[in-house]
Amino acid sequence: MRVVFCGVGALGSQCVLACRNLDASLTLIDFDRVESKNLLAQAYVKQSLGKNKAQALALQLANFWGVKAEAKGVRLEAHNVEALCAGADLLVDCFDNQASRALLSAHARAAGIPLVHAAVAADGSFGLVRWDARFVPDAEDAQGQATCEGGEHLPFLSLVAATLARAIQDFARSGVERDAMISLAAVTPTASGRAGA
Amino acid sequence: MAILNITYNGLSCDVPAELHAETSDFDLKRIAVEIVRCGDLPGLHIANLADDAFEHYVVDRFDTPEGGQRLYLRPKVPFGGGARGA
Amino acid sequence: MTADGRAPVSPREVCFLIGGEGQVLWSDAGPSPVALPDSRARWEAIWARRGELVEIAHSHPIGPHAFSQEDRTTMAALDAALGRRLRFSVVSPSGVVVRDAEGNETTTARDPAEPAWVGELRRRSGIKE
Repeated sequence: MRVVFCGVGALGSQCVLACRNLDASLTLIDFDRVESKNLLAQAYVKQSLGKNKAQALALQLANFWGVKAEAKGVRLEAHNVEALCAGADLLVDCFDNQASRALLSAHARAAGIPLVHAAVAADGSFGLVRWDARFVPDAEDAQGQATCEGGEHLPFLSLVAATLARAIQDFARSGVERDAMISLAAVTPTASGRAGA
Repeated sequence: MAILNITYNGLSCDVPAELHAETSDFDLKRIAVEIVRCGDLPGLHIANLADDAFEHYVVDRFDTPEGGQRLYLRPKVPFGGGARGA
Repeated sequence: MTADGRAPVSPREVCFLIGGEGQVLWSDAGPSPVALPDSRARWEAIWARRGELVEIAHSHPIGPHAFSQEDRTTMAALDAALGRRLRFSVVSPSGVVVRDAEGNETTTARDPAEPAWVGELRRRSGIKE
């Protein structure tokens, strides 16, 4: 099974770490580079400062856990989405902007590839894990939500990332597509289905 | 998208870089080290470039008419004796 | 007025870029006798003249007769950027301090045989002859 993580920022990087024991090959896509502020709420370590995020996370997985992952340090765009997602059995949307989510969603639907989205509210009050058939992206002003900029919401971001990792794990084991809504009070299952159902 | 100019080892090269406008000088220097290490700077590939290679460099930032940014990573050039007796 | 009829100059740090014949390729001056602030124009002058540039000199009009920590880190940055070691000098009321291209430092008192630019740097820095 090949799982492709699209965006390895706050949610994506933490989710990838939680997926490191999956019986799957992991591909990481992100054009961005690790900056000091990213250390506050993302899975990166000081030694990764300046590196491309996808490459830095792949390096950390290899160095700390002996897990191999493929890194693609490019921006996912209309002209390369097909190539970047080729061979994927599951796409994971951890982007921080509507345009990239919509592009990925359109490709997943056209190519028939399962896709799960994860998102957090800008004020860190709730998060969602939702499979593509039931996902409608919210409009937002700019890339990089405030929740990802500081370290204030790290526990909550970790909660959403862990819930997403569990949804990926369930899909890998049994093909079930579980949605969830996450708040600081609870992780609430909201729907489930099966691929193609 | 910004254009980052790096001057090092007698070469001055431009490289397109995905950088946020608010990227700090510290982070820009670390990014530049990685760019040089991985050979993304034409003609300048130093795989073992030291982490602090640009420690005494400064960043000049200019907005372009197209709405982008040009960033120049160059050596600092102040001199000075400091206060007498310092 | 000074002995040569020119108005006296308030002490201030001055920088000379020196070519292979001892000629001053470019110069600038700071507002203070203890600091010459960073300047993109100075860097651009250095880079543009790097082919003929052999030495960068500056003054410490009220001392010290030595390179400062600021000077040393600037010299390191310039060596890294240019890919070769330049000769650097400090001209103070006591004489001249030189770091040559091999990294050796020498300190000399005022010398009648010193290059012409040294006297000019003193004059423009407000150092008494």
